[in-house]
Amino acid sequence: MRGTIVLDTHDCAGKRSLRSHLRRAVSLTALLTAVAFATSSAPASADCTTGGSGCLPANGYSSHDIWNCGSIRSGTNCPYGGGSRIDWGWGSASDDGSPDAFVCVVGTGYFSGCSFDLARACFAASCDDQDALQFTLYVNHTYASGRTISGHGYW
Amino acid sequence: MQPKATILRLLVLGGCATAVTTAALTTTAPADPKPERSPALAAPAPRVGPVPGFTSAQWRSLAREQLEVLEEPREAAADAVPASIRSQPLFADGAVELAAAREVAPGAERAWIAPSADGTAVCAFRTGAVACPSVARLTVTGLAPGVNGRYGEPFHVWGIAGDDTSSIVLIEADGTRVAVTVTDNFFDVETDDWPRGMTWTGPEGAESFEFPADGAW
Repeated sequence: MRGTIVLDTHDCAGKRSLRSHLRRAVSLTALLTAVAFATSSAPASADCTTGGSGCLPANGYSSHDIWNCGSIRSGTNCPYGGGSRIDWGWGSASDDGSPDAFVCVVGTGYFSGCSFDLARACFAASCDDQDALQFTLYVNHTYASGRTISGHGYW
Repeated sequence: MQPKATILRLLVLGGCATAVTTAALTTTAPADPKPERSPALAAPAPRVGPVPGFTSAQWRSLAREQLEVLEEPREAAADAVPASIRSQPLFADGAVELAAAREVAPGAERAWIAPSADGTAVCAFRTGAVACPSVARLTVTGLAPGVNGRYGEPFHVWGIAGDDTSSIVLIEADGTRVAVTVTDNFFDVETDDWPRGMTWTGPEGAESFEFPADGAW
């Protein structure tokens, strides 16, 4: 199920008004929500190379990739590079779909971070001194149906 | 079940003008009753969709309305994010508006809350971890849970809770229920094992969330 909410606030866009309308709209959406599952999936694929246009800054990092997992089922792990082991870096999982999803980024055995919409995490505080580690970086999500999730890693 | 579309139009008569709320719902047929790995949410939280037409300023205003910590004047020195945090690559793309951050957990486990750069989300962050739930979610459910874990450390169940949120409980792996304290709209509870879920009372009443099993490691 996918739901969208459109608010036409006209000239009544005060804080209290916005809050009231948003709540009312989403409450109705929740009442009408039916859990559904989708089965589509797609392999991860890098679409950003080091220093390429649109890449985030990668100071001190030798590689930087964003991989789009396509629409994956709830709980399906989407690894970078098909599960290749990497030795240092950090990860990010993001979802800009609607309604929002709970996303996780995991460096297997070393770190994980989960949140609605956007989660970023690494193992060491500076995120760049993990050269003694070996882990697989993957993202997943929890949402009733298939969602498109992007992973993002530096190493 | 065949896909179907339902359009609801709710006319809300406010004090100053008429507002039109439209919820467009599309339901697809369930193809598989069980997710591959993670358990389905026992009690799905209300779905939060986009609100086209909202400006960044409106989102920010809504966020301030939900979170007292963002409404209060910022103390430049006390709330400043130190360079050791600002320089971390997690923040290098400017996704978090560090200049508007409020420190919410002083001490050894320092943490901050700040708007996202585009204003549509609010971020909780500390060294090596960022969580940015949407303002819409916070408005509707009153709380956005997150988990962060590192090898050799306990899990941190952390996140942002709205001003109108109360009775927050963490359900640990063994079923133990732990009351969660909120300070400056922020909570952070340490637990040895991957948590099971959370319950709370939000603006719309009782809410619950079950953490996905796959987020552990």
